[in-house]
Amino acid sequence: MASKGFVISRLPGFNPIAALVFAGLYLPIIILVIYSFNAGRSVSSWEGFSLQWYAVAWENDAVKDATIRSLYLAASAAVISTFLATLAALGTTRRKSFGGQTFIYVMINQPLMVPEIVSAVALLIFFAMIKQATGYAGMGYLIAAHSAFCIPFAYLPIRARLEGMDMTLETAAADLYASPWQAFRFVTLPLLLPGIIAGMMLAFVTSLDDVVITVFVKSAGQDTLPTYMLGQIRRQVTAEINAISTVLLALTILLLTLFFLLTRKKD
Amino acid sequence: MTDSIAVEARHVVKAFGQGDTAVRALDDVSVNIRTGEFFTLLGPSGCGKTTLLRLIAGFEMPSGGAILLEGADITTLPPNKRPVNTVFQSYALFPHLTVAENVGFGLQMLGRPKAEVAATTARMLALVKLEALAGRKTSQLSGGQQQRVALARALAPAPKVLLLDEPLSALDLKLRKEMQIELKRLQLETGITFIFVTHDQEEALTMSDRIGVMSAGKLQQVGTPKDIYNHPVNRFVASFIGESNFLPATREGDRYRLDCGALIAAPAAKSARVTLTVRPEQVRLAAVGEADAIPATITNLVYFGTDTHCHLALSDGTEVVARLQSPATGDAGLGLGQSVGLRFVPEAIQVLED
Repeated sequence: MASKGFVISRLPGFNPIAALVFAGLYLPIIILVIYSFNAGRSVSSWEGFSLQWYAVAWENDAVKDATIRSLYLAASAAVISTFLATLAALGTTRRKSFGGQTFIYVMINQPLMVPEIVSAVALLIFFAMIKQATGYAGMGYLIAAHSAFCIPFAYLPIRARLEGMDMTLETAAADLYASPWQAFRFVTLPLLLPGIIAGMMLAFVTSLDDVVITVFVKSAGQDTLPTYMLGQIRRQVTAEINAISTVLLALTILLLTLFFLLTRKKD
Repeated sequence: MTDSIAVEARHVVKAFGQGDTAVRALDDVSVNIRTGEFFTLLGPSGCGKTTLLRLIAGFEMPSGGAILLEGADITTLPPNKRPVNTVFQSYALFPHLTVAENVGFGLQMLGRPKAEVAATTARMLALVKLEALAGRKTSQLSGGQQQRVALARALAPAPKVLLLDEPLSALDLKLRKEMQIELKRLQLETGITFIFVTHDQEEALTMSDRIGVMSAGKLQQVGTPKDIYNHPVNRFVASFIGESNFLPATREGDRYRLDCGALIAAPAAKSARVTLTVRPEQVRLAAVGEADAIPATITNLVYFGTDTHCHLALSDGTEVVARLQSPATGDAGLGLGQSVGLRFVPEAIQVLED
C-alpha cells in the first residue's frame, strides 16, 4: 500500500497515550460512581453493594432543599440567558456588518474570558451595594449572576445555527407575503429552535454546576447543590457525596446527550 | 396578448457602495413589460439583470427612478406588500415544512381560509405534477422536483407577475430542457406575466416572447427573439446572442469596402467607418474567382455533426466563420489551406455603427 500521508494515530505509542488520557479523565469518575454504591461509610474502601447512600441523600432535607434551589436557579438562568442570547444572536447576525461588531461579539462572550473569581468578587461587591440600598436579599442576585455568565453558553449554539441558516429563506417568506414578524415566527424561529433548545440546555448545565460565583453571591441559607457538597466535604466525607455526584452526573450526561442529538448535523 | 403594461421601470438606477467606490449595478434602465408576456432579462453575470429582478420583487430599493406595477408606483413597497412572487435560483424552499405547506405558505400568510389554501395547494401541485409528494419534506426531493415545488409555491398566490431568477441553472441539461417546456406551458396555462432572468442565450431565444439584453447595468436592446437575433443594435448584442462575424468596413457611396478590398452592398449608415456583421449560417462558400466571391483561405474546420464550422481568413487577415450544413456523405471536400471564395447572404448583413 502506498503511503497515505501523515496519520497521527499511526505514531508509535499513540494507543497507550490515548488509553492513559482516557483513564485519567474517566477513572476518577468511575471510582466515584462505584463508591456511591458502597455499603460502608468510606469513599475509599469497598464494603459491599448497597443503595443506602442514595436513600440517605434522598432523606436529607438539606440536600433536598439545595437540589430544588439548584434546579430552580438553573431553570431561571437558562430561560433568561437563552432569551437574551437569542436576541443577541439575531442582532449580531441578521443585519449588515457594522463597526464594532467584533467588539460586541467579544463583550457578549466576556464571561468565558474573564477569570470567574474576578467576576465573583465584582458581583459580590456590586450586589452588596444594592443589598445595602434596597434591603433585598432574595434569590434575585443568584438568578441575575447565573443568567449573566450563562449567556455566552446559550449564545454560541444559537449563533452557529443562525449563521448556518440560508438567509434567502427569510427573503422568500417576505416574498410570500409574510410580514417581518410572520417571517420570524413561521420561518426563522422554527429553524432556530434546535439551536435555542441546545443553548438552553448548555446554559442549564453550566448554571447547575457553578460553584465559584455562587459561593460569593449567595446569601445565608441559599446553598445550591454544589455549594452544599463543598460545605459537606469540609466537615466529613461520606459516600452520600458520591451518590449526589452520581445523580448530578447522570442528569448532566442526559442533557448533554440531548444537546448533541439536537445540534448534530442532519445529512 | 393585450398591450397593457404589467411592470414598468422608469429611469431606474441602483448603486452599491458610496462615493468613488460606488458601483452602478443599474444605470438608467427603462423598460415596459407587457401583461401576460414571457419577458427574459438576458446578460452575462454582473450585468444587473438579477438586481433589476430584486428591485421589482422589493428585496432592494432603487437609488433612483421608479418601478410601477400595473400603473401604480410600488418603488418603496416592502416585498410582502407586492403582488409579485419569486422563484429563487436556490429555490429557497422551507426545510421544516412539507411540500404542501411550502406551496400553501403564501396564501396562509395572506390569511386566506384553510379550505381555500388546501384547494389551491392541491390545484398547484397538480399543475406541476407533484400530487403524490404533498406530504414529503422538501429535502427528500430531487433537484427537478424542488424546482417544481418552488414554481408551485410562487404561483399559488396567483401573483400579477412571476419573477424567475435563473431557476434552471442548477439542473442538468436534460432536465433543463424539460423544465423549459414546462415553464412555457405553465405560463400559457396561467396567463401570468413571467419575468425570467438568465445568462443562457439559447434559453432566452427558445422561451421568450420578448428579450431585454443587458450589459454593464444598461439595457442594450429589447425585442422579440427574432429581432434580437437578426437585427442586433450593437456589437455586444450581436456577439452575446449567437455567434457573429464582424467585418470592419468603410462606406463608399451606397456600398461598403471591406479592409480586404471587397465591395459589399448593405443598408445605409451614418458614419463613414462601420462594422458589418453576418451570422455564420449566412455565409456561403463559392468557387475561387466566381463573380462577387471574396477570396479566402480555410484555416480550420470544426465538425459539429449537423454542421461544420469552417474558419476562413480574408486577404487582410480578418477571420470569418461559415457554418456549413454537413452533406449526406459526411465529407464537404474541404481541406486546410484550401483557397475558396465566400459570399454573404445580402439581406443578412447588418451594419453596426460603433
